[in-house]
Amino acid sequence: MKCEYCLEVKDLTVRYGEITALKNVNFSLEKGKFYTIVGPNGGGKSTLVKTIVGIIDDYDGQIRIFGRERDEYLQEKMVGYVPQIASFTKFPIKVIDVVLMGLFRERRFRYSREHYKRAIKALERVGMADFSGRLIHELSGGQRQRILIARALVSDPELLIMDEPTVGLDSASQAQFYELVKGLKESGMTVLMVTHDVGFVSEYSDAILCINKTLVVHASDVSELPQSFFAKLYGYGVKAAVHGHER
Amino acid sequence: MWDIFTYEFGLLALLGGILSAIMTSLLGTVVVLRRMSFFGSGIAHLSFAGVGLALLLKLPVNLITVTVAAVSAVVLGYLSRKGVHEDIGVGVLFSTSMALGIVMISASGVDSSRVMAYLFGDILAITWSDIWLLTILCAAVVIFMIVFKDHLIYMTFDEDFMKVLRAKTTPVYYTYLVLLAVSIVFSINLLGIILISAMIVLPAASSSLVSRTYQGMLKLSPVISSLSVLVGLIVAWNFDVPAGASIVLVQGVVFFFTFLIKILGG
Ligand SMILES: Nc1ncnc2c1ncn2[C@@H]1O[C@H](COP(=O)(O)OP(=O)(O)OP(=O)(O)O)[C@@H](O)[C@H]1O
Ligand SMILES: [Mg+2]
Repeated sequence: MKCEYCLEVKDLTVRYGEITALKNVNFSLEKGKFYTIVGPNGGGKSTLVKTIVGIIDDYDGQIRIFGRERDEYLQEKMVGYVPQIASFTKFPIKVIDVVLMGLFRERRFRYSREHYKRAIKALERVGMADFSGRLIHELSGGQRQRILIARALVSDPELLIMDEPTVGLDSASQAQFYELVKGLKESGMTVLMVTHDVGFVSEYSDAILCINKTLVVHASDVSELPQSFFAKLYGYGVKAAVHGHER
Repeated sequence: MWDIFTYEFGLLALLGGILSAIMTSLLGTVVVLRRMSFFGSGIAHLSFAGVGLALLLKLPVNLITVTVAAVSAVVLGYLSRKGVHEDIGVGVLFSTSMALGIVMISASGVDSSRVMAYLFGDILAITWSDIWLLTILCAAVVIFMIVFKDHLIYMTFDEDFMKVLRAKTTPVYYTYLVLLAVSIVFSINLLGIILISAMIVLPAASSSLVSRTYQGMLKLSPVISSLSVLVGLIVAWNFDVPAGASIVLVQGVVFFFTFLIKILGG
């Protein structure tokens, strides 16, 4: 049976001890689209993302990826994942080795020349090929972010999930990043991205999910959202940002 | 100057010392990268309680000590997985186990010179059977590190990503801790409880100052540590000082010089 959904989340509840971070979240994402998650700080966006990619294993509800149970899917393939804020402590590891981590499952005892070539290619896609021999902690925050995007891309995942990947990127890199995402989408990849950058949302994403402990809205177009929506969600007006991108 | 190695005990000390140096420094590199440098001396002190227990119950010392060390390594590892940092767990058990060891040894009525051997080790008293044991253990450590170094490094660098990769880090981590504990116990015969943590931490600390990457550290630490054993034994023989202490002093000097090179070289 062919499945048209890339990701289905049913009645997802995640707790950290006493704290309920997510409660009864339900949504389905179609293949090959670019989705955005927005929501206030502490709204549970990172929790949602971590649960999908397999970092959090303790949850209630159901997650299906390309029609299969999460664990079954993850056993065979991995979901591309870019974590929030690349704040690694000083660690003596080279950029190329960080990217190679994304190919860890494909290697046999060691990385082949083919793996190295793919890692370099992934670095080229984010414009960081010249930095392959540098240490990860010698890079600036935005550069690190791009290395982590390369690490997520190197395994050619069908689903790519990024947690605030544009934080710390300068405007040129941001434009480059959105070009990259467009290219990925054209190649058939489904992309899910957490962001606070409401302005960009309207321009690039096919649909937007608003998470505040539970799914507040799932709109297929930003213009469907009522003007007062972001103000209500964030508790203050960010209308100007949205407004600026209205056509 | 080199004539210590014309005697069998000198050669055995060199062989045993180098085998112990290779395994402790390889495992020690991960200790340093994980910032759990207290762990080595913690396990060593815990095994002192094992020595006490064995002497009290008149059981084979090595067997009991290895068991005690391995079990405590696993317990400490488990605690650290539950959010108690390895060093905190060690800090709690450290002095208690030492006290327990002393109490049990004194209750066993064993001659205190035997106790001194555990505290300070006796590298010049190594036998061929020790060498075979160390060879097997060292080979196991080297193979383990070649196969699983990326697991250990990655889980130190970015544990979350290992979960995304669905990599089986837990068994690797516990195997690592048990190997570390066993290596420590068998090195105690050579260097003693008090000095063993130096063998684990110092070579890796020195190599971290001069090599940029973890790969470089893993290659350099065993070299530094083995050379320190060689130089340390020569110094001990010629100046008539205890061999274990001399080896550790050499390692300390190496650290000091790499530190100097680092700050002078920019
Ligand atoms: N490891 C943790 N232990 C306990 N509580 C946690 C943990 N991580 C997150 N939380 C709590 O869960 C809730 C959701 O956090 P989460 O990180 O998912 O929010 P977020 O939407 O990603 O926020 P931000 O926009 O700041 O990144 C918050 O109340 C937070 O305090
Ligand atoms: Mg977050």
